[in-house]
Amino acid sequence: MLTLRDSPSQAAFRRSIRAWAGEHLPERLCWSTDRGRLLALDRLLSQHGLLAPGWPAEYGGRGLAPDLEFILNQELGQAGVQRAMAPSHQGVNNLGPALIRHGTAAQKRRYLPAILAADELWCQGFSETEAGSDLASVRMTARPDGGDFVVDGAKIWTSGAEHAHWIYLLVRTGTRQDRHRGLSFLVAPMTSPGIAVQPIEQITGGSDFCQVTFDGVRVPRQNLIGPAGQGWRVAMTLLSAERLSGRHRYGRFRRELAMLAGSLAGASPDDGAPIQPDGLRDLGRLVADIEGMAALARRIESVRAAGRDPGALPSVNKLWWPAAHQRMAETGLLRPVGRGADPGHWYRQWLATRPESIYGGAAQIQRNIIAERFLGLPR
Amino acid sequence: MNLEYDDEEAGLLRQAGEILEKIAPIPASGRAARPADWPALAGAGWSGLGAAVQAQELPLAVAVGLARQAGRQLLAEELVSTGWELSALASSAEEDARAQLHDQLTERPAILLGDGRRQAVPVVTGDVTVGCCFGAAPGCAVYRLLSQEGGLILQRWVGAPPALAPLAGLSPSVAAVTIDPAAGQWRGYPLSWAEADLGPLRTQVMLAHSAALTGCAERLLEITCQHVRSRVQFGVPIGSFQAVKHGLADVHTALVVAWNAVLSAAADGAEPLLAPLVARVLTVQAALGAARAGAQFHGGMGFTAELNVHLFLKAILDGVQRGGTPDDVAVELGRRFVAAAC
Repeated sequence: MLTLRDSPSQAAFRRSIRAWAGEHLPERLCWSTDRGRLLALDRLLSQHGLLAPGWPAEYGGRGLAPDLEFILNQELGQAGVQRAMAPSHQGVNNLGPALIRHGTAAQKRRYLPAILAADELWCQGFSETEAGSDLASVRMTARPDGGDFVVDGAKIWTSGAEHAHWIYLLVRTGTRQDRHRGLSFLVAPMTSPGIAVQPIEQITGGSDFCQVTFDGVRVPRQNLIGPAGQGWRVAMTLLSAERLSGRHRYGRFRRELAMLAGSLAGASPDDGAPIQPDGLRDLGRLVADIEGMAALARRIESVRAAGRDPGALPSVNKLWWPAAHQRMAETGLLRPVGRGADPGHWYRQWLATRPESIYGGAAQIQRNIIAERFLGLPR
Repeated sequence: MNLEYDDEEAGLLRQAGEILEKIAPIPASGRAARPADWPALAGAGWSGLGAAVQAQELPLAVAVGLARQAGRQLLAEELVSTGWELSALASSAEEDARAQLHDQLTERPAILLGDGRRQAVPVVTGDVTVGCCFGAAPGCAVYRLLSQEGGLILQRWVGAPPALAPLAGLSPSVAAVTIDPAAGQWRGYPLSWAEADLGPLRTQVMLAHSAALTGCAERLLEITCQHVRSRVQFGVPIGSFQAVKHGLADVHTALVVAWNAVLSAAADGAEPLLAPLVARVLTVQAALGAARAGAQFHGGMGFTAELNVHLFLKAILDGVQRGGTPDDVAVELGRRFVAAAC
């Protein structure tokens, strides 16, 4: 039966998480964008076994079923835990599942506990200047030399590289003609000699992402995840997890929307004018956009819980939520100027939402995937 | 929480689609009149969808799945406006009247609603009643719903057949209906519905229309994909061009989100205030997107009556007008969100 109701056990779990949040979540950590506070929140969640609850128990998770994990994310999201912004996100949500699937027992023992404790933070070394959407064109080389690989090249758009302890890399161990079959997946400490991090100034004034250059960096062979030449498979496992990550953003988007609605409503009593119908219409369309995102998240969880193939849903999700968020920022920018709102906020948001439709597989790539794999259109 | 049909439900919906395909196949050419066989549809149980939902014999979430199948077969009008809406209304009549009404539903019915929720409502001009009506077809039985002190009355026109003027000859399902009161009489069936109780039914019907619209748009997307796979220009199928691929991927994305919004609004325990309107707004946007892409990517042939594409375009244009204009629905959604959030 199709239902949005919780089963008794789901309801009990929801109550327990709500109670936990009420008791343990300090207000100052909720909805914060400050990196230090976000990290403190990661560690608080970790101490209570809530950072990676979906991981199997043998790797330190709770083996939480998808339905309960969904409830956990719903409740924490509403309480102000923004998983998508967490410093631990790359390790917990992206690398962790790939390691669990493709890593050796020794690698899992080495890396997973520190990811789970948010003691070691990770960054993603995939994109290069000549390999953005065309990820299989990666040029960074890893040449076997004794017991090591020697890595040369540069990665770009590496979020959080300044703060990360480790980087995971897609590198070329075969020839360029091999395309994705010549790629391997390595992990390397950011303190390795020969690694240099250059922050990139962004249009928002910040510098969350960086260029990371590798000059003769020696990486032990034991840091190879999966067989040599099979790195593409590991990367695809990781990107599949990343494309579902919009599910963790609903709480924040809904809050921003309420803020926009509040500014419209708040403006009215002051100037004695009712909210204009065109403002309500635009708001209604945004509500539909954001609630559509929630509906999609419910379906994805239901498909996962049923053990079925999600098909095009991850790509649909990755195409939908950035576009919805960008429309909201633009509506906010254009709408309430002079009516009690904060135009500066929406100005910044318009700029800040640009990369959302680029990272994790650009919108154009998602459209290609949907069209070719699911609508059966020719390449 | 679960938004995935189980195997039994999925099988039922698949089977329902196959039955509709047999009873009312979509013609390959748009020139021929479409043979919608109402008695066969009614005989297969499709005239009682709304009554079954009212009696809680059919979960709403499964019923919207059936409405989606109806939309795929261009039968939204027959099966939602009448099979659903009229049978739901009829289910509240006195027992004798109910039996009579359900018997009558084996004729193709059309309904004129007198309460202002349709864009064009019946008006009395001199001694002639005129209304713009979805689902009117030659030989159809015409009903109207009147709100009177003491409750609602469903009336059936008994007399000379009404004159029908299809909408400028374009729409297969919308016609102006003219009735000469001197040539017959309205026969009434008092219903136990009060005007104020109609809200949940209207919500259900709006969801059913949204589901049907989704199905119709999905079918149009499939037809369009088929066309761009086979139509060759510059030596390659036009579906290999990114401008085409991306346009259709966007249509698919909007339809997937819209359908899941419909399911989220129809599922047991759904939030009742925002969710149906969310589904409506998303469905209308997605269906119009499918119509625009369908017309564009068929090129000149999409502007002819030779293909059946135009039947889908018109069904979508008809469908987006049900349950209030899309802008009105978005305004109402915005208003409700402000009330809830502020």
